[in-house]
Amino acid sequence: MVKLRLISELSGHEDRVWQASWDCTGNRLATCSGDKSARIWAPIASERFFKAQQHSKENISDGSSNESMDVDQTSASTWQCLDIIDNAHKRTVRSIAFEPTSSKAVATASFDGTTAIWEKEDDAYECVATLEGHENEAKCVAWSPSGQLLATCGRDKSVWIWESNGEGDFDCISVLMEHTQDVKMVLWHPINDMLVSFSYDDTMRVWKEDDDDWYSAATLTGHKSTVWGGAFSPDGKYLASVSDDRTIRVWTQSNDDGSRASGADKGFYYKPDANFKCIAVVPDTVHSRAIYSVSWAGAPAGAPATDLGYLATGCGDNSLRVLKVTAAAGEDTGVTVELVCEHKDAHGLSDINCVRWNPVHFGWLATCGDDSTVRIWNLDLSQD
Amino acid sequence: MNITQKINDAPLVYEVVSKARDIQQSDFDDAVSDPVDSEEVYELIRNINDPEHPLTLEQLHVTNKEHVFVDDSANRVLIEFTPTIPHCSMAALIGLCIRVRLLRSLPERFKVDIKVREGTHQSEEHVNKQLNDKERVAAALENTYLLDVINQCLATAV
Repeated sequence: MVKLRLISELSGHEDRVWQASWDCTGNRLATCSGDKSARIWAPIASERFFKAQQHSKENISDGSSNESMDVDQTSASTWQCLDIIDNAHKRTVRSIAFEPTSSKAVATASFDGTTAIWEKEDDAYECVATLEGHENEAKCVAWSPSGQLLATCGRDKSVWIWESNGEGDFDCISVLMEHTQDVKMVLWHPINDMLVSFSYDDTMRVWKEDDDDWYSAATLTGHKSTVWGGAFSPDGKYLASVSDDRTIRVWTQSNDDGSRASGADKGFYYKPDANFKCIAVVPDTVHSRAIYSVSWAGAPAGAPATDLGYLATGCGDNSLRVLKVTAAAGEDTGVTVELVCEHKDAHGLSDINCVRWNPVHFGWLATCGDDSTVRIWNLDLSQD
Repeated sequence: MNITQKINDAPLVYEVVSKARDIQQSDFDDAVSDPVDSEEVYELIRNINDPEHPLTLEQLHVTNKEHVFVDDSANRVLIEFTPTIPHCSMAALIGLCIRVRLLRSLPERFKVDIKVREGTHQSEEHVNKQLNDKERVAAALENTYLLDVINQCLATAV
């Protein structure tokens, strides 16, 4: 039986925590909150913390009881808050992302419409650039895998692409206005320079570039309500999306040439050359309220080739869930997604806003909730 | 608010039928837990003021006791409200006032859904979607001007 054990609880934020981002080493975590600040956290002794995968067996919890969680006795002191960034944004900080190659820089996007880039000078984080342009709340910021491009999106229905000019500052290279409503999240493909945006208009859009011109390469329809976010599998072959309609959809790029030109796809920057098809849907009976976040962890070392990893979801019904993705036997692109662990009241009686698997240390998960805390979990796959 | 032309100049005003809750012996017993019920939630919202007229939502039949659904054990509340006219542009604001009122008065454990009563508004899906999108609500409540308007409507809801 797969279990999720609560290992640490990070308190400090004074309002709901919206998002978390692991750095490139997997040893630091950045979080942002409605209290207008961002915080950087790390375990006091990273090597020991992440290697101790088997915490004492007495601390087993199957996740179904509300009251005590198996918090390791000493865990209250094993994480510390390294930095607090609280002097730039005048409103909620909605999104935060560590630069993926060296994690020297961290970006924050705020309801005040701006995106700020921070770097640590001496002892504190300094704001090295402020990116303005969104007409109202900015909702997400994401770095491309090379660290050269940044994407932001917001309630003004637009997706902005920025390029690093080498001196710590960013130039806006594209403003994409194809969504018909609020854009909730932007996500880069882990390998190629391809961007996906998720929107209140119930669709997702895939963006590619052709000679520095960014265009909409596909519109993914299927969700019946706001698409809150998504995650690529670490090899970039699959995309999972989650929505207010309480379902998870898994997509992959298909090779068939049938292009779908429907009215919804027309747009100024639209060239339908990317074909995505939905290959699996987790029905709305699994999650009982809107799903706000999903993260995809690759399979652990030594797993069979059909093991495509684990999805973690954060939901408005207070539960944290883990689903196993397996390649369907005999089919080229089919997958099955199966619920393997459900941890109720993961953040007490509060919504879970964000879930993020550690990109380096397998099985470690960070979650953020409306209860103003950040929690660190460990996935226990051992069968006992 | 600079409204020179009211959205609904002459709304229908209804009489308020006030029925006091019967006091029971168990009300005085601390050991008996009183679940939150629809009456209690209705008490919280009935006296919210309409943004345009010096009248409560109850007097305008915008909120009705029959359209408040509470499940205490499942921590769910559903409020259906009825705008006075189908093209009322205040519908989202009224819904937001109800949401803020409950956010400030109900225990945090409750998940609250607020919807326009089906068939009573021409943009009901549009309004419902906004009212139940927690990110949109959170951003709206950071707008001090909007918060002032909401607080004015809630001033009567004591």
